[in-house]
Amino acid sequence: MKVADLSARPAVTISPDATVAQAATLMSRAGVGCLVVVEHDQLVGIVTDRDLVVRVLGTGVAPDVRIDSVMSTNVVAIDRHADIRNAISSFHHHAVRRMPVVDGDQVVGLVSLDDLIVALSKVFADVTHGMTAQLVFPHGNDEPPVPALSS
Amino acid sequence: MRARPGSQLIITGHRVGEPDRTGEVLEARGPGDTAPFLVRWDDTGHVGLLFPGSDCVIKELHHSEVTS
Repeated sequence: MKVADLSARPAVTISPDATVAQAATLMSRAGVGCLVVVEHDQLVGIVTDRDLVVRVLGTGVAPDVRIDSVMSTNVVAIDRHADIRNAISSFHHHAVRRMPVVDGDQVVGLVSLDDLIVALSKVFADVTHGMTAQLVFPHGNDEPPVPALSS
Repeated sequence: MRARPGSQLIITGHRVGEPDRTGEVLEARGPGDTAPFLVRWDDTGHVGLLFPGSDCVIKELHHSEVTS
């Protein structure tokens, strides 16, 4: 399964000179908890609803400060053609919950740990469906042995 | 920020006691050797894409430093 097969959503972007208040409004309107900060078509950061809580509300920062002062930089991303095992490895090694999905150098979406869990749970459901049938009907397909004919 | 394959990438620690994070740039996927960079991290061996921040330093093979 490829990253592109996950139910990744389009990334909602914001300019680095936008304010924290504008970011919060955009998150609310778009129904997302994460914004990709883009300047001149280049990804420069990422900001989550948790960042707004911890780095803004939690520290008493005014809501009119620029979003690039509270965003996370050094953003880990994943190629849309990568296998989801690479995504799992990146989530594990970098301890992040969301990653921009890129095609070349362009951000084409956002994938979250939740998206991954949902996709994997469907795979597990398919596996357990067969196992459940075997547990409920353990000998359903067994044919009795044919007795040998003695002359 | 630009980097070529073989360059060393360094992200400095921001807290006391936090070590720098280093890796080797395997590939630059943006136009003109720009980000994102495919990086093999020295501490874990994990290979992944990174859009570096302004605190990231690239050391070329000939040891001159380039920052964004």
